[in-house]
Amino acid sequence: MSRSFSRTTHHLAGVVLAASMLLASTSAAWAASGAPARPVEEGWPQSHFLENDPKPGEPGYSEAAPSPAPPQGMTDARLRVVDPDGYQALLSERTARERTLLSKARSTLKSSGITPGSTMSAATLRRADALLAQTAVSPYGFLKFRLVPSNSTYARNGYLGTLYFTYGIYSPVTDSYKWYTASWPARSGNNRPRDQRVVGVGPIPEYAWVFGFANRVWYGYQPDARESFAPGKWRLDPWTGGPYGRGYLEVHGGINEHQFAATNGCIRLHPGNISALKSYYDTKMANKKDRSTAKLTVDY
Amino acid sequence: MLSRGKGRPRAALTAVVTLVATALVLVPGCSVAPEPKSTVGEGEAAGAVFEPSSLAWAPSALEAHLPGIVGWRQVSEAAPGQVVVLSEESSPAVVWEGPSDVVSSLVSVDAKLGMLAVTVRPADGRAFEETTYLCHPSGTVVAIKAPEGYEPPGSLVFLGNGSALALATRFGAEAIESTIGVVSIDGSWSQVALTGELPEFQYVERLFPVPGTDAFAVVLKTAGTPANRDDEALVLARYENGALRSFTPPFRDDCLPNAVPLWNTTGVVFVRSWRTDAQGQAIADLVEAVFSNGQWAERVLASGGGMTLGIESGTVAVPLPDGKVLVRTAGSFEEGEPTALVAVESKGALAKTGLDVTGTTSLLWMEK
Repeated sequence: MSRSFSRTTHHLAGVVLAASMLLASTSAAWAASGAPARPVEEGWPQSHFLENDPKPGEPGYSEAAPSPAPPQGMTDARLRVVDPDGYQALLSERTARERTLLSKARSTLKSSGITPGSTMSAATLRRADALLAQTAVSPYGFLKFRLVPSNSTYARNGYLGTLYFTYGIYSPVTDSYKWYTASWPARSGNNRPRDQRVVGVGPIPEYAWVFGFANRVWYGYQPDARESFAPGKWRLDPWTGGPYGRGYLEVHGGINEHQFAATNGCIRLHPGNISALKSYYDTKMANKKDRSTAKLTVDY
Repeated sequence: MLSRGKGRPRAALTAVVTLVATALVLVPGCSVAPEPKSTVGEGEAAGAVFEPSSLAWAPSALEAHLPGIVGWRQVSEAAPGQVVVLSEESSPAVVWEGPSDVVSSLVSVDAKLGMLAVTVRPADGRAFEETTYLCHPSGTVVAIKAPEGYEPPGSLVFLGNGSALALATRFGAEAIESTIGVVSIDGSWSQVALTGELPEFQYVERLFPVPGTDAFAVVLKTAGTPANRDDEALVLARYENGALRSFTPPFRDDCLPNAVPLWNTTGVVFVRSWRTDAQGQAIADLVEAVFSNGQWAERVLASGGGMTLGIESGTVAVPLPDGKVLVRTAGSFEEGEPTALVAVESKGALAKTGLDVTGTTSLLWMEK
């Protein structure tokens, strides 16, 4: 964190205007929520500022490598067995989304002369898949973060954090979605849901965050080799002015002393699992640039 | 002896995606669990071109500036890390600088024994396979061979004769596990038992020496609840006959991961972050915990005053041999105020010291 501060100082002349604008909006958000503006943690939140991302040629900068195809996630049947509560939490959110998705998939296919639910040739199937991906309805993904009471070694303050990536693949032949889920141990702030309003300390507040966006702009996955982020991150919108005045929240990794360590509210995964999540994000989320559906829902 | 702030293990994760793809493991609540690759340290972490001997150091360079506050400094993201000795009158004295072709992180340094331990990883950030090296006063550099499946040690204490007591962690499919071992002069690992009076715990989180005593502080991760004192426990232990034996009951607090040892006293200081004010804003409390006459006694040395909470910034307090404690401030980006060390005066007042610690972490007072 302190490195980022020094870096910020080093490049201050170049970023002062952007920083001033950002800070002005931040201060306004904090003031509106009654939350404090004084710093609680050295280097935070400036290490998360967009302008402080590592630049080409700097050690913290890295290129995003292509993702290999990930293993298929758990089927619903499997998820129901290994994580019944997680399954139920995902199901309730998914049911509402699926109705809209089915309607959109059907209209997309029909407008191209393809009848959903009918026997199709291989060529027609390929054309259907391409159309569905273009309209961001298949594969369709979203995320959920939960904190549930647990005595797992991955738990903190008695709560185990889990980040779910769930995705549905529409079959034009059966005219239905089949859903798969991958999940990983995660932590956020002090992991204590009752502290979600404590800036810089508590976990990310309950909310439907937009995954991979900041200030309504899509950034997607951003490689970041700095120790507190490595190997990379996804920003979450609202970038400032979230619930309880929380902001600058991300899903990221962390190595060395930051490996699966506490955060100022961001969701942290083991660095290996950031790479795993990226492979799903890259290949199983056609809707990743659609801010109305690229959601990470936080439920406690 | 200087040990890195938190004893988090080092990642060893090149090809993790491949591992995950080939080993989809189901655990309660988790479908894909971390499966870190073991790093046994043959210089491969930094790629074929990295030469471990480039990490060699001259202990005399450090000794020449002691006693003083030693730290790990990185002035910009583009600059190699440096071991420095702080000064109120001038710029910090640089006593070692990492090679430019890798990213280095300090694990531990000991002026009396002339030993340095650093972790290196590739500078391009594309791979996260890391290796921790021991740098001997003779100029010899050896890779630590952590047990299979465990990541390079993040906590390490030098014992003399070129050996070290080290803590390695494994992020497994179902659990986080730790192991303590003695690293010999050639980097090989011999497991060490942790014995004595111990609370029920999940794994060892940190290990560090208590200077001026024969004690080691051992921070244990315990199965916590939403309460404030059951997620971590601290015991003091001695290394005797090949085992680390606890001689204290546990001291419990959720904020022990940022604890640092006091000098010549069997105790620690740490910043507690569980208190909030009427507006729900977190308040930092600097707490001292001392084991004496068979029991632990704690007292709050200072509160608020711009002290950093130490959640992401690691250890934040610097105890001195005379009993005083320095603590770092959060700084203020809005006001252009850098992070600095302030002295804890009587009745909890904080006094400026003139020690700017911007970009400098892992601070500890060190004697010749």
